[in-house]
Amino acid sequence: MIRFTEDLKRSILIFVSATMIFSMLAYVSVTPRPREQFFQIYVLGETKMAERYYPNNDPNIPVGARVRWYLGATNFMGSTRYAVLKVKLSNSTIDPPNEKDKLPSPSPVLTEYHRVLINNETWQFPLAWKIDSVVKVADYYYLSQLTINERNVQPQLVYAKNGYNYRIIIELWTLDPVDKHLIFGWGTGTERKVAWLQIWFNATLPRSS
Amino acid sequence: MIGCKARFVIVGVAVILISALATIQFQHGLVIVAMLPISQTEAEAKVVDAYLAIYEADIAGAEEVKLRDLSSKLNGALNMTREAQDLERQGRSAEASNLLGKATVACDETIAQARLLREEASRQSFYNRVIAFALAPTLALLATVGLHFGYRWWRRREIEQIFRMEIRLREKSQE
Repeated sequence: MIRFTEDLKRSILIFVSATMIFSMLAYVSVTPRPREQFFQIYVLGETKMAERYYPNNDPNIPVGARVRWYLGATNFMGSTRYAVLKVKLSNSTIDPPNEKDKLPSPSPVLTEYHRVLINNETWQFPLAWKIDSVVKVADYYYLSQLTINERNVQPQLVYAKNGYNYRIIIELWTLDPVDKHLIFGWGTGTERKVAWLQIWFNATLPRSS
Repeated sequence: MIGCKARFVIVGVAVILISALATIQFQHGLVIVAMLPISQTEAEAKVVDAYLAIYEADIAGAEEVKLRDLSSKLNGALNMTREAQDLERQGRSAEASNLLGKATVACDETIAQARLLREEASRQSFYNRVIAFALAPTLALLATVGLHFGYRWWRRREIEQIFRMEIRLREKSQE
């Protein structure tokens, strides 16, 4: 029979307790802390501030007037992500993105920008655009051609009465690393979140001489 | 008419050529792939594969500096696919195809580097875990030994103090 002296019993107790404490510390040190996962998107005006979104601060944008914005996105997802910013042309009657059902706007896409962002990385780039031509049909206008970042874009028909209440919608899409498909917004485990922005403007015809 | 011997020679040469090409393809796959015309869809699929490779390396715990290098390389490839799209629209198909080929090569390189990075990160992460958990019983043992001898030293000191007090009392009583 092994006889446990008081000293041995005490030492075993200390050893077991210390092992448990140090194992817990080891587990905490090698396990990453759960953090809130999210994306941030923004649009800045021509001064790179949240102001002066229109030429001369006038939302009535004539044909040929150059509008300069800065689009940005920051990845706080805790890992590298593939982000896409879709720029859409819309009016007051087309549905905006649906945050409840996580549905994108059915408005036509003007252009889209893709980028791989590592964690905590911010991506900012200029978005310079102008209306090249507007067509008037009765009281309705539609933008037949735009130039976005030196690329000509002919959008699908989006009408606005007298050119009022057009809007540019910017949606954030990400590539789901599990499904390998682009999704509107982003997924954090079982949860889906979306981010989008819009800026309203009115299109005006060139003044007849 | 080609004779039976000549046929064998032709087939033999063809087999040798094919196997040589296959070897080059295996060893320098990127070069051959770059020479083949690549479609926009194929290039975009490659970009997605490259992104997934980087993502896996990141999840495995790769260093941020190396991930940044890989992501900037992939973003370069993404820009090339976009430029190729513009060229295609302008009807400059040959230039577009050339650019898509370059983008694909960049993606393949990214995939290969990301896989290496993932393996390296996984190995490092495994060692870190092993070291962390192996350190726990080691530190516990050191703590036990330290406490054991510390306690013994403290007990001896206490007993010695009691003895000294008793000796002093006896000395006083004898005086």
